[in-house]
Amino acid sequence: MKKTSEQSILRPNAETAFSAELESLSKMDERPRPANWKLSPWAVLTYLLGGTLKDKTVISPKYYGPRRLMEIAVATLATDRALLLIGIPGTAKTWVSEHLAAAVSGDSSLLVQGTAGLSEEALRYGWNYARLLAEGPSEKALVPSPVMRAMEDGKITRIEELTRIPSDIQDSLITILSEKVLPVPELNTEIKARKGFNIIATANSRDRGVNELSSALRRRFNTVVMPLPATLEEEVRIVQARVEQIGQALELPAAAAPLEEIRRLVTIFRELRSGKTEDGKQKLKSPSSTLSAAEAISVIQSGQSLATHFGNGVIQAGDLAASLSGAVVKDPNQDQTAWLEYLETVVKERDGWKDLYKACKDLL
Amino acid sequence: MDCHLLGIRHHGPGSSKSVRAALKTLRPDVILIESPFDAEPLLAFAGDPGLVPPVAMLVYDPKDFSRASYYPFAEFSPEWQAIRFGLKNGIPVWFIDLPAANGLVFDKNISDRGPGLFTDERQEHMQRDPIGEIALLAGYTDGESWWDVTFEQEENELAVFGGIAEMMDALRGDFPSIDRHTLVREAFMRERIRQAEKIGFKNAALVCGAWHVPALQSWQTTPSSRDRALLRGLAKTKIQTTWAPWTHERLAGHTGYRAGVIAPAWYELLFKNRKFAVARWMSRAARLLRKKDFNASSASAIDAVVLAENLAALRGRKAPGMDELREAAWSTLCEGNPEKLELIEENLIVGLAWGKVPPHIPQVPLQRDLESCIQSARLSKEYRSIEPVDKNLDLRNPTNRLASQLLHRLHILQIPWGKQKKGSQFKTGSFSEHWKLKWLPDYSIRIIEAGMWGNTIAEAASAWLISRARESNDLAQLTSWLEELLKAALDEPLPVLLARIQDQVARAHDILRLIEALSPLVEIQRYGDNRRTAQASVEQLTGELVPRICIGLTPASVNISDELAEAVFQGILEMNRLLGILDREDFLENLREALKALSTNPHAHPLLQGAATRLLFDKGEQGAAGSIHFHLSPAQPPAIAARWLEGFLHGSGLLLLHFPPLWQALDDWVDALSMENLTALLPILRRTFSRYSGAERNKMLALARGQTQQGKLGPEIDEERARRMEAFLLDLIGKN
Repeated sequence: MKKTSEQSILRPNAETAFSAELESLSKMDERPRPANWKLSPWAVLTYLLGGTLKDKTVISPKYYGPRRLMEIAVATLATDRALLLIGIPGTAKTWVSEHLAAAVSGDSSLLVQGTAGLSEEALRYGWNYARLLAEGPSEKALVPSPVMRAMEDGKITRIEELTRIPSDIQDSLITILSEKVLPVPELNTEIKARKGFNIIATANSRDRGVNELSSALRRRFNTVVMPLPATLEEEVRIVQARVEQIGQALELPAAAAPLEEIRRLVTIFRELRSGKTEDGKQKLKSPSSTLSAAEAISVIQSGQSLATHFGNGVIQAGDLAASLSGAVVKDPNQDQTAWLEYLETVVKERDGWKDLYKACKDLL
Repeated sequence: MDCHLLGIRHHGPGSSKSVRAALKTLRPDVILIESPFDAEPLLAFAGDPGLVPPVAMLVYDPKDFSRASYYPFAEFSPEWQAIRFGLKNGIPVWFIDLPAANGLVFDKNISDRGPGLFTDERQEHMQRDPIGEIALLAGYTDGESWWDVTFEQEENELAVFGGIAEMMDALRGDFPSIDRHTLVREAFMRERIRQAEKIGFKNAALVCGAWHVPALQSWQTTPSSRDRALLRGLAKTKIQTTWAPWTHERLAGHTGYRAGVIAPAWYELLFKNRKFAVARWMSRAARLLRKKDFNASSASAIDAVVLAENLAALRGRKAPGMDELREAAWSTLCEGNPEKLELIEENLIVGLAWGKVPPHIPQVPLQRDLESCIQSARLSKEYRSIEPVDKNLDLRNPTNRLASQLLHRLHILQIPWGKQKKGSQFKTGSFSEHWKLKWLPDYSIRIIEAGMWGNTIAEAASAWLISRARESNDLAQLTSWLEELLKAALDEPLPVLLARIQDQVARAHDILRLIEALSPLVEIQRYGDNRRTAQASVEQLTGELVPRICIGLTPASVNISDELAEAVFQGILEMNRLLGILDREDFLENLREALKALSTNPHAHPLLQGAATRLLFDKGEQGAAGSIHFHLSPAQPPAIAARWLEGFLHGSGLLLLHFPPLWQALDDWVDALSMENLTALLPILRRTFSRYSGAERNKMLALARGQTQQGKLGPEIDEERARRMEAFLLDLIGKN
């Protein structure tokens, strides 16, 4: 496999992107570190929530929500319970899990993406069949899963969308979590987890038809429910910070996304999501779409790129309208009416929003 | 005299423990407590084994119940522990704070407080719970865990109080401006200390809020004359005192659990078993969840304790406090489920404890009457229950009737102990009531307050109603009182209430209101009031009301919206029912005329026209049948015709089944409708027909089918069999 040079990577790992911050945190961190942790729990918290170190290094905040939740998450990882992050899409579950793994183990790449078709091999181990046939069962013929590698190295492994994995496959995690052991009956041996091993799983609370965790597995997890941003200001700040970061990676000028547009967009998202206007005076229909902060970020981004490549470089209402409508209207029947009603009753009347109203109406 | 100042945190279990230990070491010959001087007589009952905390000393002005103060104590309150210690060891206990007689009328609006370091609100917090505020500054949201970390290791309990005194000294140095009320209170307390010295006590222990320690420490250096000058000329009132049962819920404050505020259930646990409090609390939480059929294993409880400890470590605290426990339980035992957390908060943070006051403690007469009423109504268990209780009352049973009357009387007195459940809106005629009962501790003050109206519940409720009725000009309100009064079985206010209603009826324009007022009057005539004193005036009032309503009927039905028409429609039906009950020929004649006028007025709402026609038809007015064709004729706009039909066909469908001309007219009308009109009218028609019973609808369907096939209605009548039936039916209705 050809090694891609760092600059041309679309999205570097957290530990790569923030390697400087992690390094200076590690240097300044004098508090006790649990076995095999790269940082102390306190430093992990600082990495997540931001702050300024003694040597004036500024740590950028990665998570903007309540501090208490992150404290619970970090404290959990230091116990022998695993961490389960639950929330509707776009509440930074994956984002937090990646940064936690990066800060604790210095490695966020031990990742299992949960799908309905996931097999047991992905959580335990598989076989290199050529070798298995040639030499018979041996450790060399074993193909370890990310979970197994994390156990061997004493690292954090991440399981995305845990509830999408079929129940019988999920349950193979029980022994790993309670006994910290992965038996390999074919070799009459077992892999014992080293200190520092733990699992961060994420699960989506919006989707239906998921496989609920069995209570045996559930009780091996501490649950942290990830909330939506509490206030408009907070959400604007999150969107703006992320847009800037991603913009750098995509080489889009930050100036292309003025704060005013972000605020406008976030307002629309919050109002539609909560089913009422920010001043609480008007009741609205809520569309079926999620409308999380993450979606707001992607709408701004596509607007940004439209403006940069086809427009005058700064986002106009027209650049936003296309992806905005797409984000809101996920179900052509219900959402369409909700969106139309919102445009006619709220957007049209609001001072200075005429341009957006016109742009959105043109698209319908 | 030595005066040892024990500065405490009110309701702090840590303080309690230290106070107890300090008292044991000091062996004082008098214990002084920061409580109102004139509440001292209550101390006589403090040793009573029947008095179980949480309880509150209630101090009130018998002339003005808005002036009242509660001084609550929990088991773990340091003051309570000090009082009990004194009583047990035969040491005199003094209350030394400013008398409530002055405190209740102290004008707190005169604030000579200069600009302070903090906002007024912050300053108030600081005065009430300075230790909690210091803990906040130190990064602890829960004052008790800070107390643990700071003082729990001390070997010498007296050293704890020395430390607190120093801390308060420094703190009060930052608050040069202290409000006058506090200064006056502190002057009074110093005077009382001096008094204790004068009497000859040698070794006093003083339990007071930490905030006051520096001010009281100076009792020897502050000139007594200055204190006396401060106390001169204070306003004064008469007060009465009693013990009232209290709850943990009320102790926690009005808004429930907040970080930094008292968490009574947790504090109680801390007080009783400080050493293993964290583990105990968590296993209680697990047991609680299991009791409510949730999954909560011991393993989870263990993990939760570990998580709580980790959280505390992460936050740089030495031991988990309330916040850590709560968050750990949420994430582990509750699996992120907010309802389970609520359950835990309610039971294990705030707590359900409920205090008891023995019956022989002096109470207002009304309270005594209430208790005897409760006993004879067999509601004692519900009275003492902490959780809401559902109660079904069968009014045919005398005890249950007493209970119902009691609840209604309390309702009149604004003491909603029982809430009648929705869906049991009843008339006096029906015999079952469904109540949800929950006694709240602040009803105690309302009982005392209601004491001004009389010495028994019945007397007080009557007097209250009479006085309110004299003031009220609201017909709806007066009518609703009339209903209440019937349910509460009170006769006395009836004449006054009737007179007031009579006054208002003359001025009222809204016939719906008048019909509402008529309803309880008819009930009274039907079932009678207990003593039949007011029968004549009720009849007279009814005699005024009925013609007024009948006259107003047509004007009230003209040019009105569909919604209003619906209301008038219900009113007409109610009116018809009520007059049917009274069965007086003159009233029925009034109604008949009114309905005739309404049914023929072309501007009246079609729904009401239809309803009026139907009622007339039921009363045997044959002419009514002719108007069916008129109203369903093709020139009539279909929407109006459908409305008319809705009014006409209300109630039972038997009319349609057994009156062929009507069926025919309806059939013709539907036939003539265009498809478009039919679609538009379907909702109204459907609504009309959906009110009929299933059996009726089945028959109609058969009729509709039969007609198209045979063009003939129903089976032939067998005269012979009908005659045999006739004799039997006549027997049945007693006309033979």
